[in-house]
Amino acid sequence: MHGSLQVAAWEFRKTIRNRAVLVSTFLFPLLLVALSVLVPVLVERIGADRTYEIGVVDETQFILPVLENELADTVYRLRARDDLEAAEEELLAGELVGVLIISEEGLAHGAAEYWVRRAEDSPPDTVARALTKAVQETRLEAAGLDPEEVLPLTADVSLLTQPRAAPERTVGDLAVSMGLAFLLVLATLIIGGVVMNSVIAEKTSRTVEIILSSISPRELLLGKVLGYGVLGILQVMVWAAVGLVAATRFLPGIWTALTPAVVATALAYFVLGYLFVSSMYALLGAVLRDLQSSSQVVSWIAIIPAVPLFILSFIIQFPDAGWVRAMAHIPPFTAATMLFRTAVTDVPVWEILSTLAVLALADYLLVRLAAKVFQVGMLMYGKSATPREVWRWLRHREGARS
Amino acid sequence: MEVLQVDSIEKRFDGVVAVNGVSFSACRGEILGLLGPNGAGKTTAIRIIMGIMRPDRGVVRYRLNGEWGELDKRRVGYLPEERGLYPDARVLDLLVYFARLKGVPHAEARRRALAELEDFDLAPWAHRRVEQLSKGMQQKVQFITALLHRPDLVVLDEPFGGLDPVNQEVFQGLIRRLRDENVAVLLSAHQMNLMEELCERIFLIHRGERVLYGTLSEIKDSTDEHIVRFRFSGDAELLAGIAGLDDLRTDGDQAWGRLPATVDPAPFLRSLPQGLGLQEVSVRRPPLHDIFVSTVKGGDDAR
Repeated sequence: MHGSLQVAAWEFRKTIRNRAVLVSTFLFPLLLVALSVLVPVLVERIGADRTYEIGVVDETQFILPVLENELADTVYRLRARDDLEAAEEELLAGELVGVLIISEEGLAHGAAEYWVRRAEDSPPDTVARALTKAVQETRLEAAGLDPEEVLPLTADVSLLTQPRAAPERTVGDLAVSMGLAFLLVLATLIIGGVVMNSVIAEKTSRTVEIILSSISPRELLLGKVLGYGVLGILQVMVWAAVGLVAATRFLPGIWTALTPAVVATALAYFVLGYLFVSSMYALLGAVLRDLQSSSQVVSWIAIIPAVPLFILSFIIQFPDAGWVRAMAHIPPFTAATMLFRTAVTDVPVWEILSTLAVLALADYLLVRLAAKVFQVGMLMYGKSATPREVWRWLRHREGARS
Repeated sequence: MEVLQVDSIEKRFDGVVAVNGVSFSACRGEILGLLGPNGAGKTTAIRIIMGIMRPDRGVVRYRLNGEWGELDKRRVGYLPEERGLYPDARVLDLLVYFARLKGVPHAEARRRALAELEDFDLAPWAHRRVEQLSKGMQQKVQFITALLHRPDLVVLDEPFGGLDPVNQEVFQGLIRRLRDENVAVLLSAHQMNLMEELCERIFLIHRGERVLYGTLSEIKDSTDEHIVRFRFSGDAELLAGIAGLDDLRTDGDQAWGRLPATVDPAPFLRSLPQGLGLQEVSVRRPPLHDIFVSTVKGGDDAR
């Protein structure tokens, strides 16, 4: 293991000094937080100064003052207009956002016309509600009743939905666990890709033979996986911390969702899933000549671990469906599927254990297999291996010792 | 003292024989030359010795810690033919890393790397990136990586490749220094003149098999023939009448040819015609280059 640790430390130090990595680790999330704080402030700033003018042609003569009173505290300003054609011109010229036409006849049918410029412009709800209230008030007054007494008596009743079963997940819990799942799945795929590039770079820089004369292929493989894994965990931690800080602004008390059990389960899937994906990518890197020669087959294989992301909405909707549970036991899909399942539902402990066991076994086998491919593939310069060649290496006793 | 025994190793790739029943040994304080045309199986044999590949048959034994046993990768140094360094890494970091992989403690690795860089006139480059170094400098850095951990056995695969004559001489000196430090050196190269100057013993491999193996003089003796060279001022026509000389060639006032083993040089010299006006005559064992070419060609013709 000594060799693996040396390789891991080397890769870690080499990468952490890379400016691009530093930027993506620390600056990128900070930028996101800055934006999430700045944008609402900016929107408020810009929106506050703006008012919208609506032309009102009031044939009744008495609705407009009441309506004006109702809309006094909003962004809408009413402008009395007598001439419909002049009002239409102003509307088309963009000086007015709408023209409201209040007529006795219309009100008798419970309606008022609202002109907009284009079909897709809709009348503002605020204005519609205010008009309803203004009409009700004038009618009540005309009937000799006090609106302040009557209106509360006729107020709408709305239904407040209250689920009685014990809540499985609160919004905060869901946000945290889904965020964590996304973060870990994406990190796995991204770092796996980095491992593949590093393996290819090792090949093209031709240092591999010196390395392999010092340590075994398996030590080299594990060293790379370990080095970038630690780096990845560090990145995820920075991002998660920043994400939580940002989220606390909107969902206070979000921290409580991160129980030790939740974190431990997520990390277990992350570590084992990362080991699988990165070994797989490392294996692909070992058979490729260079970055440009990623063949069709390879790019299809590389997509496999991302499949759960494509069908994420189904997994979230039916986390306990038979096929989702089956998928959770297929190693390349296990980590991502289970991270999302555990995020949205309570998965039985035995299923967590069985999927972890399957994944751990698959990791063990894949690392052995990748080390075998490494032994031959890494020494092959100038050409990519064909799937048939790789199959032959695996059956060959080459590398049995490593 | 022997530190390496290669015993009847055999290796096939997809049914094609790369190395077939090859055996040789290497001793401390000796430079063993591994010769052979391209694709003869040299690099495969070296990779087997370095533990990068496993032979299909045969064994390699090592005496790296005083006892015969398995390969201890920390006790061998290697300069592979396919070589490179991380272009974006700094020279000192790289040397320390490779030494760490060989089990040298960090502080010690750093101390030795700085000392070697000083020795190789590379001290000002210690903190530069590898890509900023010239090719010759990079090759020196690679050479340092092969010996920084003080190995008992060093394998150098084509160390002169791409070097100018000045640097070739520098590397010759370095290889001799290793030998003088009682390291066993296994040297594979194409530069016959350099091999002849450096190696005590030669192993010639062709088509995966041993063709010649022994000390340089043994190999020269085994050829049983001499190369005769003349410089003359007389009648060139007379050359045609010289009996017993094969492959006679002339160029101006010079001529040379092969004297088969069956011909004794002394009577031959006496039999040279008077009118030739001889100025110089030499009778020598053929150079390694000729032995190599004729052995390899002869082997191919016999097939």
